[in-house]
Amino acid sequence: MSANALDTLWLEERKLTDLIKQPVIRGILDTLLAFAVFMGLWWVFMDPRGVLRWYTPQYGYMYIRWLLIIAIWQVYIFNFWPFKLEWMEKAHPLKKGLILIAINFAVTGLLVWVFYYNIFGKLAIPYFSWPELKKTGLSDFFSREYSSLAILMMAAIASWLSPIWPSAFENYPWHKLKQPAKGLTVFAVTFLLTTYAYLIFMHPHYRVLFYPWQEYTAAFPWWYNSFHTLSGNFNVGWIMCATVSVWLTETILERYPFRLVRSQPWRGIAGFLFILLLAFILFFSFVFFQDMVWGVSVEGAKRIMAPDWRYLHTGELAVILLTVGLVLYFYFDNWPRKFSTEVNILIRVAITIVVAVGLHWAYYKYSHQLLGTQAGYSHPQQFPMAPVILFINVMLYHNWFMDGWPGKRIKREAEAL
Amino acid sequence: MEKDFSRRSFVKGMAVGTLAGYFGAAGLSSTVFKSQLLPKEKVNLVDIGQIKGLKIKVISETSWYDNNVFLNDVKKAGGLLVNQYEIPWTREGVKAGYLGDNLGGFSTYIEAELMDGKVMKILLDSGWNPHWMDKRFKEEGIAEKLAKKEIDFQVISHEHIDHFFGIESTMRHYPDIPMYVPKGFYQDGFDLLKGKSFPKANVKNDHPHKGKVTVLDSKQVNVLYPGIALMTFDVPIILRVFGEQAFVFNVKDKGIVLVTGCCHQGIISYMEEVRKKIVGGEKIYAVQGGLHISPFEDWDPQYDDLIMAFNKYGVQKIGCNHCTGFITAEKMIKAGLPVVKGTARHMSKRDIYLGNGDELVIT
Amino acid sequence: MEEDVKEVKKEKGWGSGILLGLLVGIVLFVLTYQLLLMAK
Repeated sequence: MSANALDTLWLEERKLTDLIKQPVIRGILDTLLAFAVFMGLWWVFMDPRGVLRWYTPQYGYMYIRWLLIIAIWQVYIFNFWPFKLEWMEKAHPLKKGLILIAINFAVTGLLVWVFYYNIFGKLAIPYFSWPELKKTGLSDFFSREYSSLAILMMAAIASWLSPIWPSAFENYPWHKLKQPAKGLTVFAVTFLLTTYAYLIFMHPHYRVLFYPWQEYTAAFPWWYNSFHTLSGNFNVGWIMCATVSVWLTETILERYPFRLVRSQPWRGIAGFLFILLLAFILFFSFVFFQDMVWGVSVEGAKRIMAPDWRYLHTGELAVILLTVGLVLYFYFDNWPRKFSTEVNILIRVAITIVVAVGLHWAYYKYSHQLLGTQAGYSHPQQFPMAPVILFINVMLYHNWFMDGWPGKRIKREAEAL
Repeated sequence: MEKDFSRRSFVKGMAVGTLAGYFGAAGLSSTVFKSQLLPKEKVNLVDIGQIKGLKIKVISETSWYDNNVFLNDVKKAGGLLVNQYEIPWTREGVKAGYLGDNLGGFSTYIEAELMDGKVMKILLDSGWNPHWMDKRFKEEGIAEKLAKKEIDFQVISHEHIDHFFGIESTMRHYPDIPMYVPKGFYQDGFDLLKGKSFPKANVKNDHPHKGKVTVLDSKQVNVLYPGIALMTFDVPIILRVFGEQAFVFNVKDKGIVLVTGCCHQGIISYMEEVRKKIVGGEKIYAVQGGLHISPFEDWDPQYDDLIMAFNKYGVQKIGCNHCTGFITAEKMIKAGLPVVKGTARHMSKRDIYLGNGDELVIT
Repeated sequence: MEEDVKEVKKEKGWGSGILLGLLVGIVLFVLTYQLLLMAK
């Protein structure tokens, strides 16, 4: 993005031209189109009244999180490898989109069904595998739910740590490598970090999830004394805020202000810390807002009074904020862009906050009828993250894989000149 | 001075400052100054009066007999969010079941002696499988009391299958019994009460209800008689149910006794609400009924939070059963909580907590 | 040289902008706080 960047993605170099003119009309049409595709996918895969009914909720949510991280890897880490960038320029968006989405789905399936269920879960940690967990005597339903949560948390942590490398570090110190060496290296490093982060932030949750407590295999939830819950939802909440921070800085914040740091790895380190700071501000503010509106949470209570649900809900609030930011970025061309960066960002943040408040209100008023879920804030099977991230996935497919077609298309060389 | 001043820089600086100021203020007030900035809780106590004594008899706490069969029904239907009126529940061929039927039900019979000596007779919930409930109502003399209209009223704690679908077992004896249901009851529930059948879920009611139905709201503590109150909670529940209510009795010289159906609102939340809203609420003597912790012998670290926090409330007797779950009971006993033992009769599986036919007497 | 002078000129104003911005940001947050109090 900035002129002195070490490494850029094809996505940043891609020049698009409008087929349908802004202002506003394309943005609205695109948003509606993405929403319609989302509703279709939701009905087929997720809706408790629909076809496959995978939203139980963890099982369906697991796929949604993996589709997201695989898309991030395809675009941010592997820069569309093994496809040639020439092909990316020339192929019809529809053809390109279908192929890339098919790969996205296939890799997700392969990872879940082959890697987690039959390799990692079978040979290393049983709670990563639905069939393995079932063999221990747990019910089929909860075997699937527990294993889905573990598998999806790997994706959730990865979608915070993986994009930091291309975005904040500009792939330093591997920026000079060619694909696929670069992609494989960044993937290996960030996924290694993800695995350790998982073991620190989520594995202790599984110590107390099973009866009796698995005290020889996992540490006691170290956050218990400060945050009044044994549940890993504490980490789920702030990690979700961190993921949202990454994508807010990458889109409406234009990697500001850390891109002002002149050289790597300092820029990357500043970026990482800025993202963490923003994440903690979001996390603690959202906990504070909830404590104000519903009263301070009570240890051991359930539903909206439960500390762990309050933490989970910070992630849900954050992801609603992100959706609005992404719609503004993808479909309204990151409006406004005519003022100085600082002023643009201020206006975008203000718009995002205001619209997100409205979306939050609308979500809790109407979504249960639309999505076939249950009314109210704290139903244990109600995760706004699942539908909202599926909608984000659709926007990413549309913009990353299909150049925003039919609203936009790639500028041909001749036009560029 | 004016000359070198750049308006452009000033606006840029202001944009950065506004963002930093807003998020900085949010960050500081939600961490460093949080305790000073949180609004104080309003306390508004209601005096519900007192009763002399209380007898609570478990008619049936066994809602279904094979957990895996029940969960597979749910899983096949699409999970815990699916509408309970549209799930084909397994009713045949279950080895652990009652005559092969996986379904049982939940119902509790309560006698509360008022200060003037009058005894109020209350039926909480009506179970699920009518064959099973008919048998239990007969064995415990409930059928007879209903037929003689000796029971003063029925309370439906919430609309769930195992508490409400067996409504026929009450109605066949006493179709005009006064009823209290919580706010959040669906039209389907009222229709079932009025005689509609739901073939997909294999539930019917051939004896339409003719009495008065009162829908209770969550806005206030509903005092029914001196010392007897119901509290309603706007709580979203699995299988598309919304809202639950539970009893608060104030027994003289003992303290508050809470009697619940499933307690989806959470027992800690419930005790907190009682402390905040009811005179004498700081002294909770006993808790009876389903505590909805691990009904499917499933687990969540949140439930450990609950067990670890329970001790702080000083409850003397925990007469739990039903959806409390065996794992929970074992963990509670290990944590030193006073769980009242049962006798494991009438198809209740274990004596770890109050089972079918067991009684808790508080005088 | 001309450029340099401009650069210096641009630097002026940042400080006072940020100070005023901070004030505006904090006031906006206080407004958010009040709105949340009303939502309770």
